[in-house]
Amino acid sequence: MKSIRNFLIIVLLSVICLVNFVAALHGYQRSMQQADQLITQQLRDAGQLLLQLYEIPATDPENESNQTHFGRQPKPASHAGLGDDLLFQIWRDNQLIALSSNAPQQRFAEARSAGAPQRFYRGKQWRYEFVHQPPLVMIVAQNNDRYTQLIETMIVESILPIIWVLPFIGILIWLIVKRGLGPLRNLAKRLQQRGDNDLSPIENHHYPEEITGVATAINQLMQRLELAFERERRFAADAAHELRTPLAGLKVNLHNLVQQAQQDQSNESLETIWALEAGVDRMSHSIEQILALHRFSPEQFNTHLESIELVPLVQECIAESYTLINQRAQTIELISSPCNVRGDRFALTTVVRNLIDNACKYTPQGGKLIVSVGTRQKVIFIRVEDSGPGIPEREQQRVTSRFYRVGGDSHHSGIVGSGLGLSIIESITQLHRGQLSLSRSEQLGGLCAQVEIPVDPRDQKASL
Amino acid sequence: MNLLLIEDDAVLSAALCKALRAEGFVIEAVLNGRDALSHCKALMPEIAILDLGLPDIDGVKLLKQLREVHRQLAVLVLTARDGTADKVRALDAGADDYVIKPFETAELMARLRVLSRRLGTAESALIEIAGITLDLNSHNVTHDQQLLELTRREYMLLKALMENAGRVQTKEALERRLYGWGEEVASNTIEVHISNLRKKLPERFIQTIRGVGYTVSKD
Repeated sequence: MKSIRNFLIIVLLSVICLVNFVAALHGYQRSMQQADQLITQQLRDAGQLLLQLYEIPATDPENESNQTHFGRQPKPASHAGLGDDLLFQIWRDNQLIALSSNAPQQRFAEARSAGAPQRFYRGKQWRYEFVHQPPLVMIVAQNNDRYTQLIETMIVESILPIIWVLPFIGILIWLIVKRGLGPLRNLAKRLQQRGDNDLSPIENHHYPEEITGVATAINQLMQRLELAFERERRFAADAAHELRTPLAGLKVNLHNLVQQAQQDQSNESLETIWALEAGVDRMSHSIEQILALHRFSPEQFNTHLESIELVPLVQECIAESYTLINQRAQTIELISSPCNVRGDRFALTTVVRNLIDNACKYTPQGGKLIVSVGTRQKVIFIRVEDSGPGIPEREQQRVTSRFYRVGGDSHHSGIVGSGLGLSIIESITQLHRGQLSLSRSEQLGGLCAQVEIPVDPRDQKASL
Repeated sequence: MNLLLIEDDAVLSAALCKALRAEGFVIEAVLNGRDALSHCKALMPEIAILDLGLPDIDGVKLLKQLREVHRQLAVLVLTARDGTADKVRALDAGADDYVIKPFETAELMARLRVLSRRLGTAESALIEIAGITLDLNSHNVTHDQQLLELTRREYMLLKALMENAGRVQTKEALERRLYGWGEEVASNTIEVHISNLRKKLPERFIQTIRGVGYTVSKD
């Protein structure tokens, strides 16, 4: 069933058609029967009447004159009132004693058969009846055509309205079904119109009771979903706390160990400690990235959308990443023109930080990074180019999938990474209706990672 | 320098105490908010390191209460939460700095030193980088024992850069530090000051990050 409305309309119309048809058929048959009874009665009455009119010297069969007059050559009687449509014969035993002008000399019909006897005569259908008045037998016949026509006209006249009223019934049903399904359509529309994160209950007091049930069920589902999301959000925050605090403890303890080992000048333990440190760093990096990925998945994304000046945000990100860049003796520069973007500040900061950190990590010591921010054809772009090795074209598609790293875990750079960075960037970019693209940097020869976000109409004036 | 560490994780607390004592800080550690308030009243530390996720009291609330009992207290907030909202909430409540766990121990030390210098109670009020010495008490700047003549704004600019050595100061951040709200600042003011400063300092002491701001290397 594709559409309840169409289903209801078609089924209701079909049922009404069928019922009407059966009723019409039944009515037709009943009417025909009654009409037939009426005709039989009429013919008999006419016969009785005619017999009365033809007063026959009834009881004297020896009367020759009578016989000559009536029997041998019975003359057709002419009756002005009878016309062509009625004929009769009056028989005494096997002798025709009277007949109408249009009746044949032969016996019109033998014994009465069952039902409504008819015969074909002079190109017309005749309905006949016997009237017995011993010793006389009268056959009265009537031209059927006229009656049939009359009856049919009558019946058709009474049945026809049932048929031509059907379209009106159809329209009426259509309107009624449409109105009846209105609340359902309304509910569907309201569900469609709400945002991805809108889990508020539906107002259901003005719905009919059938839909109130559905709405209540949906509301309960929404409530459970919201609880689940809330639990998940809290879980993320709790997980962050639970993991970050022990990690902080680990790191401080490692720091103390390094101090101790340096005092003791124990190179062997220093090496072990550095290996430990690298492991801890990698772990904390992965935890951060997993939390970020989780936080910026569409279900979790709490949209605190605001108009954000992008240039200061990017400057801040560069300032924060600078320690790492300086450590690697790299240079970074920002080429920017002022622009505003509608988005979530924390999410966008994460994007820019990830882009810069990625570029920094995969570019060798002493390399160069260029960050460009601006607007081009109603699209805001944030581009980070580096002088590193770049990503081969055939791998560019795959690097955004979670946990994928170029060259697998044995990444040649030996750099701490979880393979989540680009995946997070892509996820956030999509939440801002933008897209991430990777290409070869024209300027520096390395990777060019670009995030493009369409300008929000509300910000258009600001960025012009 | 007296520190009060308010952190409910015993392992982290013990490790931090050890690391900070090694750096010459005097440190007292408490594991919950109630003890923090009583210790703060009794010891009157200069700086409190406050974990926002304490078991008995909301961190931001405790921060306000600490401020009530000890007005001059500098507070460095430690937190496992990294949302912008949390950060803003903590800074609004009067935190002086904000560090997200897990942090680099060296980073934490550096920030504590900046705080102690700002309080003017550092044992050494001198910041020395690559032969340049900045005395926070006398406001004198010397290059290889030679006194440099700096204007007030140039001194403030250099102080901002040297205090945050190794970190980039954006042009906007420097403007905010040098000028009050509503003061008219020409768009190239900072560039002019920097260019004047550079003439008095060794080459490449102040580095430009094009499009972002300026930095002074740590070493």
